[in-house]
Amino acid sequence: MRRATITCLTAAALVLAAAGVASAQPAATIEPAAPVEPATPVEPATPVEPAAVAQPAAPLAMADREAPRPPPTPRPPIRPVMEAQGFGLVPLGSWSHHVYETNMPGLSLRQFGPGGGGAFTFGLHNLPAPRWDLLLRGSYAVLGTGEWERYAADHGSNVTTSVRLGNVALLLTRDIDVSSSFRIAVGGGPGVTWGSGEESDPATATYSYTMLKTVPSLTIGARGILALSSVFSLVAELSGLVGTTIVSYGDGDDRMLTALVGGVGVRVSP
Amino acid sequence: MRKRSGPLAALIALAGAAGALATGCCGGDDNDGTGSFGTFRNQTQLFLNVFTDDTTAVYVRPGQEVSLKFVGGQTVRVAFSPGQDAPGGFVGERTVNCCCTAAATCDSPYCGTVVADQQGTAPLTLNYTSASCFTNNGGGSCPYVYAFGADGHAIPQAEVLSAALFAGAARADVLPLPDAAVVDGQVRVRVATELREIDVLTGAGLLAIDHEPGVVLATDSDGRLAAVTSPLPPSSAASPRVPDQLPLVAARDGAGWIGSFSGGVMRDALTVRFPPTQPLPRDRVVLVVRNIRSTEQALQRYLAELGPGFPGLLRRLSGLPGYRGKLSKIVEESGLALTVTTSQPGRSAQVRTVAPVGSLGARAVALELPALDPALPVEVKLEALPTAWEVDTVFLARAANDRLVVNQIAPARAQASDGATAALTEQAPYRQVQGQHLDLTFPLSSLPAAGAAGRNRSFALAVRGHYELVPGQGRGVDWGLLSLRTMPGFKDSFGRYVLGDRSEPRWSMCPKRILRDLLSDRGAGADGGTRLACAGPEAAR
Repeated sequence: MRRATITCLTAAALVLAAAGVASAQPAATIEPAAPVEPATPVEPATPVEPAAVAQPAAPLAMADREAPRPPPTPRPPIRPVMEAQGFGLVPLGSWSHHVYETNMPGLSLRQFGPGGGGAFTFGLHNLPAPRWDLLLRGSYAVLGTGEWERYAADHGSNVTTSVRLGNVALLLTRDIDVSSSFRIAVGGGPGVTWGSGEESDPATATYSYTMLKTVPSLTIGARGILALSSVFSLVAELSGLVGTTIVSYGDGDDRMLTALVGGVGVRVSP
Repeated sequence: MRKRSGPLAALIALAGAAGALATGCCGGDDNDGTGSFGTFRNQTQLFLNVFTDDTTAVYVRPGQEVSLKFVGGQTVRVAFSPGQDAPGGFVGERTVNCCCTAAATCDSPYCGTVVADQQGTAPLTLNYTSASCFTNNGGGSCPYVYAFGADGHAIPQAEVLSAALFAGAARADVLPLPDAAVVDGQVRVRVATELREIDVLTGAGLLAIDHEPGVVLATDSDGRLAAVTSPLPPSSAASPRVPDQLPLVAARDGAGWIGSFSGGVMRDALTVRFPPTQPLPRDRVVLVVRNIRSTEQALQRYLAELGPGFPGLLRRLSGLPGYRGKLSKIVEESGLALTVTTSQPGRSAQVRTVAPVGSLGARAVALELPALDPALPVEVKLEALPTAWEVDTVFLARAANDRLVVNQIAPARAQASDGATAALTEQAPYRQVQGQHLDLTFPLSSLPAAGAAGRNRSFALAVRGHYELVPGQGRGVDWGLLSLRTMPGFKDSFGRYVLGDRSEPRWSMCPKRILRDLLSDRGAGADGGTRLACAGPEAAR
């Protein structure tokens, strides 16, 4: 479980790093700090990365010689952001499958199926740096249980089931400009996910799904942001949600959280 | 006079309560609201949902063991998980008993293990193994009796002299010893005082009983040997909340029915039905029962709260006329005795009671029935304070005392654990306290050889004596609390206590405390944290 968490964190770091590398190149064209060190292209002691440094640096050095240094670009203002999304959630992995499978070879029974819900996000744009978003998101989804209810009915029990999955996450995303009105934000962050649910069996009682737990989780995803105006944007998102043991049946039967989340919504940045 | 009779009745009532359960084995805390834990194991082939009042464990897989928490109740209910083509609804219910297993004061008492089992298509059964309670410095108990087996090990049998609290209730008792072995022509028996009590023996002997195969040895309601034969098992058994309890009481298997406080009732009942007994008439109903240890422990705490001087007061009161009868009456009314009602269609019911027998082991108690009509079915209804009794099995039988040959043997040696030789007579009673035991050796050389003419030989221990509570440090008695617990509502007072109800205003009617509070410059609330017996604070100083 720990290895999986570390793997997820590593993946998140790679995604964020990739976002940084991808956006670094256009950023360099407007970044005045690079030409400040004219010694870089002519310093023979630093040919270690000639291809990476000398190629773009030479024309910049030429420009530095031919034109006066432009004034520094002012830092974009930090703006509040709010988003409201509707989303669908597809549980992946064993946690969504019924424990009966462990004792009935050949049985494939999904207890928690795809569901939907809503999310509300607020945060700050251009924090901690330009083109970054620092967001706090709360989401709540209701999972489908129809497959299990139909199976139970076929085997003598008319149960009614309700299962929810909640998540609160702190997200850090980096914008990648695609056009003047459309950009992609990639990133993710840690959070907490909790499962809850109950089952009503008219023959006995309504009882909670005590096997559902609250776990630390990690969200990684990409979002497309289409600016409709300076304030309003449309947002479409695809992300993965992973976590530690979200379902535990005891005796070491612990099942990790994995899910795919896709949603659309509006973004307001006054 | 009215003032004298009130406390006397109250004290005798409490004495009855104390004797009824023969007290517990350890000072564990049960029903104290701090939470207790038990274990549930699923030995069926299907998934189960398990419910207590505080825990739900769903989809417990075959072979799986889960932990259960008990705070507000001690009942385990089991249902098959849905979607397995299994019967719906609750299919089993079991009451557990919680006690400390490691220390006299513990935060998490253990409640034992409930095992769900199902053989083939038979109904699900819930077997229960109670916790092994911590015994040091616990409350009193009846003497524990061990028989020595062929390998020389002492094997626990059961307790004797239950409810014989103080000399005024001294009595005789006979305990069958199924594990006694003849080694070198001798049978050895140990009478041990393992808990905080004083056991007093004024006589002991071994009964060598030659009988036909199939004869079952039991004890009657007066502690006399009662042999029966031709057992007839029940055809059905039900409690108000669980319609089929037959698997629990069909046979003597160490697991049985325990009443439940579900619904807040202070009495639970088990109704056992038998088919017509013809062609062989039956004249006995035999109950294989024992008391529940944790309830005994609760009774000890219940009594201890009355003050350290309470045992001494009882000792003096036990010499008063009417003590024994009042004791029995109070035990019956409090629910600590097992009420047995037998009836047949169209005939008047007969009500009998079984005094407590202790918790060390189950005892077979044979009750005489009025002449039963062999052509009619028989119904036996058992009622008691929930969690006070476990009923292993119930069966009808035919008296067989006239088919026995009984020889009584006096002990050739009675050696106390300190090496002294004990005398066991009315004139020189033998007394032993916690940690001491008495080994009795009975030679069989004077008896004819066993096994003659196809007969078996069994043994039983016959004793006479009583037991006493150990006085506490101090002499105080909380008269206010004593009065509250012995008012007409006493019938349910202990039951409420077992359920964790501590709402009694213990400060009331405690003249010593009132006086001290008035005179003390510490203020009236100075001992608010020691609202136990009147003598509690003095004893602590």
